[in-house]
Amino acid sequence: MDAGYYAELKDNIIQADQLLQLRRIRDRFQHAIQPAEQTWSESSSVAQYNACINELHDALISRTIKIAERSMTGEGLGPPPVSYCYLLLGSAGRSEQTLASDQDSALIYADHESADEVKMYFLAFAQKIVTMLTELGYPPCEGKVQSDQRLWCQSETEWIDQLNHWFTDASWESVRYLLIVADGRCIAGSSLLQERVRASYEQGIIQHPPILERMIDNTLHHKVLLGMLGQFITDRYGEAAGSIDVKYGAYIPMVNSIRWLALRANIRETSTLSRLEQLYQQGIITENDYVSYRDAFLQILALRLMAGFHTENNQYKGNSKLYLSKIDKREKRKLKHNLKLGKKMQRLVLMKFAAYK
Amino acid sequence: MVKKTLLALGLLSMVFPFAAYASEAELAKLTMGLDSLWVMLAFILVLLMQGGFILLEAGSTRMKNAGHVAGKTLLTVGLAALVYWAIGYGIAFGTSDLNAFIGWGEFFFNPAKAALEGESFPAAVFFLFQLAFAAISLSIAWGGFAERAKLGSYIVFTLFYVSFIYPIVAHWIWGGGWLADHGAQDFAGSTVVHLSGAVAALVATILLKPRIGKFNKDGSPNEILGHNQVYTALSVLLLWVGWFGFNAGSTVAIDDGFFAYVGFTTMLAAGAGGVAAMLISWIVGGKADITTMLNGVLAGLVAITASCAFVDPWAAVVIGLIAGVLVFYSVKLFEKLKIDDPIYALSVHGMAGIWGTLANGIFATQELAEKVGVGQGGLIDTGSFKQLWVQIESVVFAGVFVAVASFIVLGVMKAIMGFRVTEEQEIIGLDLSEHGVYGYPEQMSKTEKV
Repeated sequence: MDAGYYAELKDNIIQADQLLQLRRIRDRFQHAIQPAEQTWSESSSVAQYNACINELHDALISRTIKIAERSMTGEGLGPPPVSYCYLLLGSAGRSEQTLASDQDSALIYADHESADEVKMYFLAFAQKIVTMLTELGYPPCEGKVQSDQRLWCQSETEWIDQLNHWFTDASWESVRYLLIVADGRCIAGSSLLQERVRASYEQGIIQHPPILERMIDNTLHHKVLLGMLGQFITDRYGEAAGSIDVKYGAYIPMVNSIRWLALRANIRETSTLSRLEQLYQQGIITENDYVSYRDAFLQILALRLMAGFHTENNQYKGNSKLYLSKIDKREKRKLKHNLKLGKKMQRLVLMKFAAYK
Repeated sequence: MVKKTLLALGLLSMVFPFAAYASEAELAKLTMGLDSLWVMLAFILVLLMQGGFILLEAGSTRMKNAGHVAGKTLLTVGLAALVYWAIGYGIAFGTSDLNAFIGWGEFFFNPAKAALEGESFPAAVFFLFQLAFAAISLSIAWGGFAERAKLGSYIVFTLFYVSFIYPIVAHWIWGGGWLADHGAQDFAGSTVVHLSGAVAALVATILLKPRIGKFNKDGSPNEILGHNQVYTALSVLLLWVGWFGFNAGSTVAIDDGFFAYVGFTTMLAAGAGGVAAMLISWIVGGKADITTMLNGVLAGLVAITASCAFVDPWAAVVIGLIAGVLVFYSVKLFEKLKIDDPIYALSVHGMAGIWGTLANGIFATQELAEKVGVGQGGLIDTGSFKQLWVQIESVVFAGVFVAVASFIVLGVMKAIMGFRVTEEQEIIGLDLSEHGVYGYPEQMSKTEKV
């Protein structure tokens, strides 16, 4: 996408004060930013393209939150009674949204004496944001990891208590929640709130050493879709028969492995690429590994971004199935190589865990 | 004194009756009795395999067809008994006008009430045993009919399959026909029973076309899951146990205990088939698939059926292992060809049946071929391709004959009376459309309302 057009889109977003305007901008960028073919073969241009898309998403979401805040005032509910932080989780938290990502979010607000009233305010506020983002085409999260749910909309103290409960409980579900929170990134409001909650999270890991082991089970749950003979493991049945699930068979295993390594090393970054860089800078992975992991991850990211989208109920949705018949021999070889690296990342997690134990 | 002597002799004769009175004629009678009992037991075991087919077919298909699937199996076994008695047995084993292509005589079979002089068992028990085989072959063919054929078509096909199609192949190989003359080795029926049944299933499934929803418009397959995997697993156990009647029972004699060796090779191949199928599904598909493993056990059993009396233990293991791998790829192949094989009959009985028959030509030993008295050793033991060639001949001629004959019968049936139920009936399920009640009334009436 040319830089001028990109800058224009961003300007338009910042200046928009109606939801409808934002939707028009989103529709424009969905269709305008399909990159040139060569973008995909160059790691640096994939990274750049990914950054562009995610900056546009970020701008859209933070502008929506502003509009929602204004709308609350307009409806007589007033401005936020205390400071808050709107957190993006999942791929948005990691700055890895595609053109068809759904909403995963949370909200932290400062403690206040009238806890119930404040909670009601923020639940209504979050609900408004979620509805508005749905209108912008972001599908709601099927797993209900969303700021308008009580579990994901709490005061600072409640969040810290909640984290402590998850750390001590360490059940499959609690560990899943902890891993989701690990990708949280503040998109609007006071980042101080998030930093304090994050500090408590880091303390939790130190105070509950078994948690890293429990996190491994969850982290390695999704297998890289490469068989023992080095063959692709494709879907056998259904409309997607013959395709490989790039999201759960390649992307998520890599994201999960790198997240676990980052958590163990106390790295606060949320994007997989910055986590990798930090891991390299801390000497946890070698330079060679860093470069090969980064390139492998970027190619998988490119495949995800290439997968495209469709609209359903006015929302942008996509799937992560890659039909092997649609890519040539050279790309297949490259994909296999990258999946092998994905497996290597998973082995690295186990090795580091053995060393840590 | 005389009284005391007589008393002592009387008592001794009770303790050592054979020593005292056994004559050669009585020994022969005893041997005949034991052999008959063994064949009768084998018949019972093979008949019980129908229980395996009921559970296999019901477990591998959907709830809405369960009652139909189970019921029609017993209906056709009953009908097969009458048809085989009236015609089939005479075509397979009739001797009054013996020729190489078709047997003749013994129609409406009326066996002697007991074994005749010089017979190793009464003819009635041999009839029962052979009938059980015919019924198994028929149940294999039903794999291709599953979930969409009209009840009437089962009845009509039974008439033709059990009276002519199956008996003609049985005659060729077991009834002194032309393939027997060539020395074709098929100890318990990899070709006669399994391949014949599978080829009929193939013709049926092609003529019927796939079940609604099996393939998408773009040709990609959908998985129509069976409704009860526990039934399927239990069915494999039942079949596995019954197979000892099938294979070991095919010695039709106690003799020197050779039947035990036949059972032994059977067991090894079944185990190897299951293990190989589980491993290959794990390696290639990333998941250890239960259905594939179960198919592997059956494929091992089908494959060893021809060769169980002809091969060394190591070869039985190899035959089973290859059958297990073969069945995995065969299922994929049929899906690729867009042929719907709901019970995997084409892969388990067809492909493994072919492999088992050919395996004789490779692994049979000269020693065992001489012991059984059919054909000769295979490629490895003798270095000769002769037996392998005869085995290929069996597969090709039996396969082509059953395919053509089944195509004529089913094709005419399709044209005249219709073969497949209507779309509505298929969607409602055959329990309701063909029989008026559901096999699972409570569960199905709930889903009906949805």
